[in-house]
Amino acid sequence: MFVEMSKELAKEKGIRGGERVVVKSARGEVDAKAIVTDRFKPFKIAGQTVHQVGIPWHYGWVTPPDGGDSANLLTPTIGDANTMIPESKAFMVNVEKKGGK
Amino acid sequence: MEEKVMLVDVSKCTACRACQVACKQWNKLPALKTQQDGTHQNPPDLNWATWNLIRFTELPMKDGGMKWLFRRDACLHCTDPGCQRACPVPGCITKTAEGAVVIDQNLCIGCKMCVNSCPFEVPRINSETNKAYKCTLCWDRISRGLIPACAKACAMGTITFGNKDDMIGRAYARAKALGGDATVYGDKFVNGTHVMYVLPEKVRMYERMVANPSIPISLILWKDVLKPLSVLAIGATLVGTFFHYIIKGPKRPEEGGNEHG
Repeated sequence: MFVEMSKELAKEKGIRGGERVVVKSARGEVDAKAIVTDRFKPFKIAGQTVHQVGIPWHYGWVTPPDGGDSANLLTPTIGDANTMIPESKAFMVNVEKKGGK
Repeated sequence: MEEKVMLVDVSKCTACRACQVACKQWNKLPALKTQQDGTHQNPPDLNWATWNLIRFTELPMKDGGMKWLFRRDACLHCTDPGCQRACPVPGCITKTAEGAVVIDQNLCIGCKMCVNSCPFEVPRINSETNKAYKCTLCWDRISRGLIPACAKACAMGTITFGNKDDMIGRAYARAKALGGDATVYGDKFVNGTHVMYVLPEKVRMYERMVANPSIPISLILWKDVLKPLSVLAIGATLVGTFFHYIIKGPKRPEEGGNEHG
């Protein structure tokens, strides 16, 4: 499981590429490896800096055994009635270095 | 069978990696434990069980923008293969009529000369079996009229396969249509290769792409100069010894006994 983030956000949070971080939302949290990249850039929205991060769905619980949990732990618990696929894949999260700052 | 060329039109690649998976599936290659290297590239490098790898290169641009480049990295199947020149086992590395360069692991002795001699740094050793492995251009498929597994799996039309002259023509037409820095890579180096690229950006922008590949000069000096001269020298020594014996006869103790009286 990995989380991609901008260099600016990584600097702000003291995160280096490859470090273990925790991605937390109001619903739950997921461990992930940080990928710091130039492909994400902070937005300036209504005068505020807004950061975007990206996570894949998950790597499974069986293979590899240390793959990581599902992104669905973070998503709003509203989804398709049959599959529970979340209605939205965009939501607010916090990203912190594992073990606190 | 005519000479074939695989064309990799990098401008169409979306890095879906169906080609990487298809190669593993067709050749029954195992998945190896890997590690995250900060990009989407996986595994980080070619290895004995990964013969085809999509390399990701992130290039920040001066204007603050970003180029994310993908390219397929695998054996280029040279017309004049450095690996074949270097291999000490006759028949271990062979070239098929279509142009595929194939290593026979049954004959491979694991000397690693092919690894050192490849201008593109392609062959990889399995440290457990001590054998060299690389892409085979699916010679088992192409010799039966099929296209390589990666070409078959590619949904974008990035990897195409056909007769040499046809593909070279298409490559140049595509490079011209793309314009800008677009070039064709592969028809000029090492007497041409059977895997060619259409590169929309300059060669040096792609990770681990060799700008001026050539067979190492040490290999040429060894195989084309030193080896024939050495064989000649050994032969001349044997012939010389034979004639010396015939002309001068065997060495005898001094006549006349002038040493011990």
